[in-house]
Amino acid sequence: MRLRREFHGLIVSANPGVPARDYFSLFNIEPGMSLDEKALERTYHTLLSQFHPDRYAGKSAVEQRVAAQFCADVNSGYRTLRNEVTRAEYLLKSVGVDLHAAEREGVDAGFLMTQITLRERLEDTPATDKESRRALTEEITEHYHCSRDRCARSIAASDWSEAARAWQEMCFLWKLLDAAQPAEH
Amino acid sequence: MAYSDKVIDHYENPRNVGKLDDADENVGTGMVGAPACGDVMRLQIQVNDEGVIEDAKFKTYGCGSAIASGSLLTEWVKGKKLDEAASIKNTEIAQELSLPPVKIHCSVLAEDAIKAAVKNYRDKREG
Repeated sequence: MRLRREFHGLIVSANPGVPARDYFSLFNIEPGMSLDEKALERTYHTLLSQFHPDRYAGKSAVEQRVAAQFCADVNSGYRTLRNEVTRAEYLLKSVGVDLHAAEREGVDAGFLMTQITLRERLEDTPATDKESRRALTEEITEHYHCSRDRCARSIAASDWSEAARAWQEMCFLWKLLDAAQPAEH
Repeated sequence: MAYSDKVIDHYENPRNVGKLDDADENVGTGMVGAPACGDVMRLQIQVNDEGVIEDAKFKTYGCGSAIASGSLLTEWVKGKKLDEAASIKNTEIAQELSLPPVKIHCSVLAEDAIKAAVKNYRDKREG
């Protein structure tokens, strides 16, 4: 059960392991994997401009502190929700899923075997061979989408252990995508 | 973060990198991964009729500490009996390489990998 209290109109949560503020309510978004990224970005900029420290220059020290903390939370909330891997992690943690326990349990060996194989193929594909790189990146992206969609479905169905497994797969594939096309996806 | 000389040595000249034939019934393959950092490791052992590990190969896509842990482990397990190899503790690897606390999970990965490889070999033999 999550304990909440209102503080200066802002929601504060006392659930251990979860950041003080609920990011979904902060951005006025329905909790879930599917999210309107443009709306998230708009709300982000609106909130930042409303609570920017410059607007609080003449206010009391307490108000300045609250506004600065609010901006910090808005920033970390935006970073967390913007990315699907951290969004899924946040969703799972906020319902109390023990992701460390899930990590100890691991993912299946077949999945890991595929990871190594994809890594080896990536290593054997020179960056200059743009066409092959593109095709391989597409293939990895498909794997990623598959795990992501399974994670989203499992979260929607409250199947937490399956969601935690799919989230781990997302972590591996995201890292792999990063190696395949640094800072592009 | 400073890496120890031993880590750097194993990282720059990793021992026993490669692959053994997974179809060979004398070969056991261990696959492990750490989602938090996206590292994956494959560790393979080739076992003779006396139950002694004759050869070991590994491949990992991870940080320097993961490479060093895998490299050191493959050196250690060669010539060992299966039970001895499976009882190697991550703390021994971490200590030998002077891994900093944030890199302990790399040595855990290596310990899990050898355990998985021994189990795979035994499952294959019994199966």
